[in-house]
Amino acid sequence: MSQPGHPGAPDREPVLCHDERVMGTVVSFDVRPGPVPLSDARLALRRACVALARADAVFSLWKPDSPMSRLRRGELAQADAPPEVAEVLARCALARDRSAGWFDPWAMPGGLDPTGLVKGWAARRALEVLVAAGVAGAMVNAGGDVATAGSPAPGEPWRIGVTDPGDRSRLLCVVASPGAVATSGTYERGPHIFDPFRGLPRTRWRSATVMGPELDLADALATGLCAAGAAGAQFVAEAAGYTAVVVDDLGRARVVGEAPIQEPAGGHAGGNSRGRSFLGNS
Amino acid sequence: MRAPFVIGATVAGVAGIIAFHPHATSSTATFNAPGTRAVGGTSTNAGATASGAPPAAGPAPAATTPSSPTGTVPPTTNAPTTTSPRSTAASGTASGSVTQYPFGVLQVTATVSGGRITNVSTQVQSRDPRSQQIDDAALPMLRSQTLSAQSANIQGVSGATYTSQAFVTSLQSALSSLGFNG
Repeated sequence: MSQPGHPGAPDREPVLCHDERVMGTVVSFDVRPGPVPLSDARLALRRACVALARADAVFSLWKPDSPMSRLRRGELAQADAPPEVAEVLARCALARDRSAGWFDPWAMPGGLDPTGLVKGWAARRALEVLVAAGVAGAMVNAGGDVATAGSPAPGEPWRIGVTDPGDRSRLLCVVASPGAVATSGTYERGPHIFDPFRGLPRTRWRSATVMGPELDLADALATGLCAAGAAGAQFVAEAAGYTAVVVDDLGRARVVGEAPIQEPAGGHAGGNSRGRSFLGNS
Repeated sequence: MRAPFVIGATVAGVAGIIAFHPHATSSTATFNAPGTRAVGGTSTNAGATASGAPPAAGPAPAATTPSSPTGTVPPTTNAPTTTSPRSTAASGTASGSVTQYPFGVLQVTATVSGGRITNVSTQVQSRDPRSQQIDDAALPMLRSQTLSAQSANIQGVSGATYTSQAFVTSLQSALSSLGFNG
């Protein structure tokens, strides 16, 4: 049935796909084994899923017996927690710093809650497993937050569509992933973004998509950007390697930095688009 | 100290973003250029179902069984042309690889006419009611996004939403068999 590398059909390279239900969401994999034997790539994919399950077991706040839940209740000292906890909290502190305090797991109602960073962190860990196996390319899409490595085909970037928050049946744009593409917004799950300075849930952008090298940080910056509004443009601009696309309440898209936008959705149509200008219609 | 903003400040804030990066907008002038409209919704199941993952496959435990490789199943009708740019006037209907995923089995059928994707339909066999609900919500959205973007060459979607990799992969396989390399 399968003819990997069949001559004359370069687009028929084998692809491993998998959807894993974990961490309260669906995590999708797309693995391009490249030089790695398919069986080895499958094995790496399984191990990547184990890494996700491990992260879920340690950090889930839905599980009352998880180390993170016990830590929050004061039943577990951080020194006695699994080593991943210190690692994630260090990333949380970095994200808080880079977001000028707008992403702050320590200011959440009910106490320390790193959930906003864990999903991206876990996806990175899963991706690292695949990279370590030597595959040519891999993508981990954790419920809409995407981490990529390598390329889907020689010389090609991972192309990621960004959902239009005003009409989820459309794409706002297509970006070339620089390693991570994370989107925050309330259009799908309702209000869940927390303003650490006011102590209230709040969102200033309909959606905020942050691109950069690392998914956990991109995700945290997207969350912070949603809470911070325009003030967030500065911390995104100052985070080396990170850019953003935001959509305001009127549906206008804006970019922060040199975002790797490949095309507006429906592009190639040959001009005459009535699309929204970034600079125009203030 | 960071004073809370009021909503009315958003417009000024937008100007602020632009001010931060006056040069950042040069290459991308517009968004949401109108794409094609979705054409029809009927599922024209072209041809034989490609083998590789029989639709009646038994339960696939999510945690331990990555689905079989997809995109490798020779699709139904047209043989893949060689390297055709996206603008070639590919036409026809083809079914993509049958893709297993934890919620069931999925196969996408795509129709391309005059170099544009004109229809995408999905056959799904889900197992449990909750998955069925997710599929019912997500798959039409993915279909519509595909028609809107006119691009098969998207490996994933970012947004607070569920997307099925099985859909994307099966779709890519269907489109590439039609010589559509969008």
